[in-house]
Amino acid sequence: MRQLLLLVLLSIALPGCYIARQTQNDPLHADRIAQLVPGTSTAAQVVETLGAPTEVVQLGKRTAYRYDYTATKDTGVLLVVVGLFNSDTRADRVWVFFNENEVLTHVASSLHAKDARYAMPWQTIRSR
Amino acid sequence: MNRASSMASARAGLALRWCGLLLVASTSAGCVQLSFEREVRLEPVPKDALADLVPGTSDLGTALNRLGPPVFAWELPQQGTALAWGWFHSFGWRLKASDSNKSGVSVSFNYDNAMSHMHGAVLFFDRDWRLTAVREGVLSELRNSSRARPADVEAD
Repeated sequence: MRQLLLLVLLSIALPGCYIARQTQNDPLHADRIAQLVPGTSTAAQVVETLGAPTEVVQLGKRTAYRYDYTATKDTGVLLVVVGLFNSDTRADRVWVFFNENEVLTHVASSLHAKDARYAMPWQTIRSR
Repeated sequence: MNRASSMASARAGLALRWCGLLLVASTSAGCVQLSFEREVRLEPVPKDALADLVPGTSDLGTALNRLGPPVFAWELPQQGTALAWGWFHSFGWRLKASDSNKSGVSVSFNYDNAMSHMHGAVLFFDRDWRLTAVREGVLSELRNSSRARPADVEAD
């Protein structure tokens, strides 16, 4: 009887715990990014290599494309009226800059989406 | 016998109080919530890397090498460009009432909305990609103070 009561109390006190993972867009690949050559690659070749960009920014006669892939890992514990939540969002991101002739002039990338972590709010999350 | 009876009665009273407290707490869980939340979005801008960038001397290539890819870019008048690097980190207790649909933690990351709470740095470049200024602060405020309508693209 006591065990049953304890089970009932625990089921009331712990109505929800969750972990969730969300991603946006497709992962970016370092080997494909390495194929882009400033001064040589054209906008068409960049699109052929990386696909359609997430954002195209007009910069006067020049343009820049943003590619991104975002990963979010959420954890939560609900203790009746007290909740503990953590959300960690990291991204892979590439920016490519073109001159007025649509030739690549600059490229920069960072691949951190894999660093997103499940954690509790008091735990330290460090990038790898 | 009397003493044992009063002790049992006290225990029953205590158990009843706990059950009542638990009942009240469980029934109000959808209305009131005290939460301890942390939200991390993207990585901080390295301070020492920012210090290496010198307006009038550094260019886009140097900035990208030091800071990596920006989070946002927008056009400035006279073919200038602003690039922003930012991150968001919140940590602490929150008391929420009657808002059972929102946990306070972002449902999904959105670049368009992310800027509003992000801290970071905005670098301003002229038409030759020469760094002209560096500003630090809340990205949305920095953008609002510098954003202009895109220039017309002249026909060749």
